[in-house]
Amino acid sequence: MELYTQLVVNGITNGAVYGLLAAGFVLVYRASRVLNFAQAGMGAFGAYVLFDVMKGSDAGTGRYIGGFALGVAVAAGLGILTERLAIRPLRRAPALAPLIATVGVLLLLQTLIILRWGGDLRSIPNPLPKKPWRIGRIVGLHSVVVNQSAVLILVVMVLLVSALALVVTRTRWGLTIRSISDNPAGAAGLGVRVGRVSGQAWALGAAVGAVASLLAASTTILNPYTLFLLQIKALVVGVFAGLKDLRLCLIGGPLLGVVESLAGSRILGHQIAGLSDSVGFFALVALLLLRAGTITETLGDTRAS
Amino acid sequence: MSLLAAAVFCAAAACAGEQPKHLGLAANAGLTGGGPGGSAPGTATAPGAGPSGVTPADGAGQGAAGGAGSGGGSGAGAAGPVPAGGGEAAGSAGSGAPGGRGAAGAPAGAPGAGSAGAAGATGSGGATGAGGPRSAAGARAGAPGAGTAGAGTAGAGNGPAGAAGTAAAPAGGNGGATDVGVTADTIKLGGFFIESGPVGELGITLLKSVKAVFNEVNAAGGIYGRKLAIVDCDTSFTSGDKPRACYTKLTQQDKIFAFAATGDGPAWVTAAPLACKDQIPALWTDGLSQNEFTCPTIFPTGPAGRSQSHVVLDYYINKLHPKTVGILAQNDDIGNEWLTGAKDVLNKYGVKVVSEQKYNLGETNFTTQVTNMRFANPDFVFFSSEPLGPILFQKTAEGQGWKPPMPSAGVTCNVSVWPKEVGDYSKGMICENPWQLTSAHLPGQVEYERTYKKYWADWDKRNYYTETMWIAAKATVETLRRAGPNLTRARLLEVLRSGAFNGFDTGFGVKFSQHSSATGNLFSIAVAVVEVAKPADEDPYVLLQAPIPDPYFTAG
Repeated sequence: MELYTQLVVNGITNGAVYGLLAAGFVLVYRASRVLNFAQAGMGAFGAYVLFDVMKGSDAGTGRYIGGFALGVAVAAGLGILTERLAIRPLRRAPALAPLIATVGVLLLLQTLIILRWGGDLRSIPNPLPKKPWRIGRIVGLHSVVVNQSAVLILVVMVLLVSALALVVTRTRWGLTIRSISDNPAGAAGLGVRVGRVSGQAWALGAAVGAVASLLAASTTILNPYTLFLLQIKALVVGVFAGLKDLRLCLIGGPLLGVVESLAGSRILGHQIAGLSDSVGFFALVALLLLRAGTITETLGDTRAS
Repeated sequence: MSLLAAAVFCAAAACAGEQPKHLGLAANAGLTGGGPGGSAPGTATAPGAGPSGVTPADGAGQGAAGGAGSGGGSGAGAAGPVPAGGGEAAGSAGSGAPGGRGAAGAPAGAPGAGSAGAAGATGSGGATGAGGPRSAAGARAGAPGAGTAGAGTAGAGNGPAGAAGTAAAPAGGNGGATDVGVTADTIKLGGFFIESGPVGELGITLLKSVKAVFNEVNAAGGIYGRKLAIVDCDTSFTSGDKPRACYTKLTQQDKIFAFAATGDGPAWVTAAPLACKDQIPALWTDGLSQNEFTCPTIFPTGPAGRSQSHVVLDYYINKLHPKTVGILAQNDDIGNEWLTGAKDVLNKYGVKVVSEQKYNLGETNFTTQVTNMRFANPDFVFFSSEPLGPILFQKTAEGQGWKPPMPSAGVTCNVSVWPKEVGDYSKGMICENPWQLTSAHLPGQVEYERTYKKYWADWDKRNYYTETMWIAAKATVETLRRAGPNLTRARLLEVLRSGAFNGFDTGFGVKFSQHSSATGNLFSIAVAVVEVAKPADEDPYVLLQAPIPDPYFTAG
């Protein structure tokens, strides 16, 4: 009982990062109809900027917050650049072209990271709490713990994704995003500057993704490749959200985390290596089948023009 | 020519003529002999090897299975108080003649150098002089049919790997393009290296170590006038497609002469069967993959992965007496190799495995593995894995506020990035090291540091993998030198299988102990045990146990 409770707790906190990354992913998709696989690279780049700021320091809070803000800003800038230089020129190209362009940007960013920082493992000195809380004591499950940093990430995810959902559903800018998402040609006809709004969404999406990446890198380890797997999981959560509803990222992230966590344990007496990471891909296939109608509607050929 | 006839050189008395079961080598060496005696003319014109030549010429008196060996090697170590002969030449023919005299007047620095098989019973394969001075308990010298070719091996004291290792071109030229990948000017050698991926930064230093050695040799004129060219291919610490593509590129496009000093164990899982089938020599691979030990044309440098587990766990259990263990294992051939070795020892001592967690290379989230392990509550955790997974495992465990009662153990904590990244949590953990720690400042290590620093600025990134590749590159140079100017793949294999590297001093506190048969080769079974004492230090390790032979390396 305690083991499975712990696995569920782990899953919820692990899934917070997926949910946050997915929110950035969905936002960009809503604005431009492009699956931004470069988001992982943008987040990694921001994380390396944070690493540079914190390297050799005493991991002070002020310095960390400053470095964190700089890293997020750099990622946002990369989002704008990507939209302007790689996506906008492909506005009239087949739907696959911008997707491939984002993969190209991801590879470019990974290469730049390796050239600048090398491929070695890096730890980001940080002031994030490292101790666990023994939350299980409350209900007599004394072995159940939760890491304080993981709780912080979960709180950030809930606040940020909720705020983002509110912005998209309750503000004029959000209305604009929805208009270019639903009918880009019509929105353009009504005077909406589609390119500009799309660029802003790319910046915001990259920034939200970078928050997730920087927190994940701070609490584990940084290298040019590790964040990419998280991006794939964010895609699963994004599809769960129909590539549309940000609120579902709040649920989808932790849900995927819990499923992964339980899949990594013994199931009917057997433990299958790699199932934990693979389960996300099974979920993706299942979601695409179950939500085929919603996804098809969302993926409809209504890209901004 | 029966160049591939099996020869067995057991330096350890206990293994006389037998092969280790766990390596899958033939249990009865010498069975494949019986071909005609070697007929290669002695080509022992190479100058001597190591400068000090303090190593006993193990296996002296070998070879000479009837060939027309033309006489002793012309040189040995400069100092070389090397006892000549000594092989228990019980064969009926061609007892290994004493080696020629060293250039500097040293007595016979070569193991059976020259191997003038004067009385070689042509065609009978009368083997001679297998074994060596250390085979007192009866190396199966003269086992019928175990004849080695009577090609005169170049004078070759098994001096420290720090030998200069160059050889001047013969006055009459070096024979030009004597085989694939060989010209009058260059020898093209291929290698799989880890240059990208999760452990890419670590892997690139392996290639740098090899290049440092080759640069040094080339600067001194090369080997018989030929420069060494390493053609590297990035296999990213993977099996499957990448190494397969690299294999094809190196062998068919680049047309390498041989694989040499190549360091990517997972790649060899895929490539070894291919190289073996095509009979392309692979000299001094890193030895991480079991496949490297099951082919007569592959010659690994380091100990087998399971030997690494054997030594470190045997030491650990005898010191700390744990009752239970949790294992984190890399889920691939290399991880399974370490895991198999671990289970040999755990079973022997009755240590119960209460949790076995596997992970795939590149996995970044270890909360589930840590949780499963924590709830199983083992006395200690053993890592059958590369460093990245365990680093993340330990950081996650720390985040869950869990540390097992006893220090961890593993096979790769000797990569300094581990204690640096994990910090105090890693303090006290124990792992293996195939060689003496570089802090011992042995002659080979001193030269390694000097040469590496001469060419590269990242000396701080050295680790035991880079040391292994350094040793491999030095052994490669020595092999090519001993093969003589008329360089062919057959000649190369002949030299490697002759036992000439039995007793070869790596310069890192370990001497090769050659075990060769028709199904595989093994050169080092020695492993040291080290402890992470000061995680934050530049050199965080202390030596707990100097390299010892794998105690599970049993005969029969």
